[in-house]
Amino acid sequence: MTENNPHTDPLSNPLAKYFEADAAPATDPAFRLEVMERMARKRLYTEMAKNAATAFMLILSFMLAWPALRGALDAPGASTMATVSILTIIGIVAFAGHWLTTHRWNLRMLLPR
Amino acid sequence: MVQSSLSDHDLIVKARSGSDAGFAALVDRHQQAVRNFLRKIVPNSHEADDLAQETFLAAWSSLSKLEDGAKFQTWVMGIAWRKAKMTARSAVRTRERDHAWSETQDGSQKGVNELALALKQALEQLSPDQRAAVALCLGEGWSHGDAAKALEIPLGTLKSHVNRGRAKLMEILEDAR
Repeated sequence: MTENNPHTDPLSNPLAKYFEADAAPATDPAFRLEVMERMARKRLYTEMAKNAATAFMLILSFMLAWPALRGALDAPGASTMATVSILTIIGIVAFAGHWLTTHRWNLRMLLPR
Repeated sequence: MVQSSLSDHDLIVKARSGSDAGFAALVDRHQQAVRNFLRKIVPNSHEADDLAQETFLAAWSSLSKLEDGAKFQTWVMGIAWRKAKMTARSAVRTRERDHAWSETQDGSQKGVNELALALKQALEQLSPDQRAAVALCLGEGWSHGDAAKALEIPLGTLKSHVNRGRAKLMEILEDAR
């Protein structure tokens, strides 16, 4: 760090004592803990936001599918297969929503190498 | 700590793969430089330390953007500098802080660390860019090249900031004696 800085030698830097007067400690576990705490908090908020987005996707897809689902359930001789298919689609949409919120798009992956 | 023997590059690899201990070791290694730098360019030490924590949090969030081969310290100092500039832009808040800060200094702290206080008052008379250049090159002993990279200014401009800032500081501190 000092290869081309002529001012780092304490003898040629009479300001050194001023700079040393307000120096932070070389090791400070309390500072590290504060940073780690902030990281944990940020991670928690991010997770909560992702889970909320997933729940929103699930509810939205259920609401969109509800007319078809109700039709299938109310129909005389309703087929269990149709109901299961609709619920499966809802599950896939929710899973896709969760995947989108937990993975970052990396467009470079799509470009030819 | 076990990680202290590892290089910055190894710790970055660990942190990128999700190791909090790896990032904690990076914090341990670079906190002093970042805090010292911010303490010279932000009026209040508590504010500087808070900004330093935000700096490390931002570094952790964008660790994937750090280019291979780039120095962690230069990169993190660049983040600190940008954060300090953004904070300084809210002029009203800064003025309030400065006022609160000088009020504290008028009291009991004044006698505690006169050298630090004298330097702080002298640094306040420099432009923000000069202050940052002086804090890095004279305070932290950084090379002009690394400091220019961190502050994102041309090398010639940085050297000029350091030389002018140094001369001005010497003048102010000599007069204050």
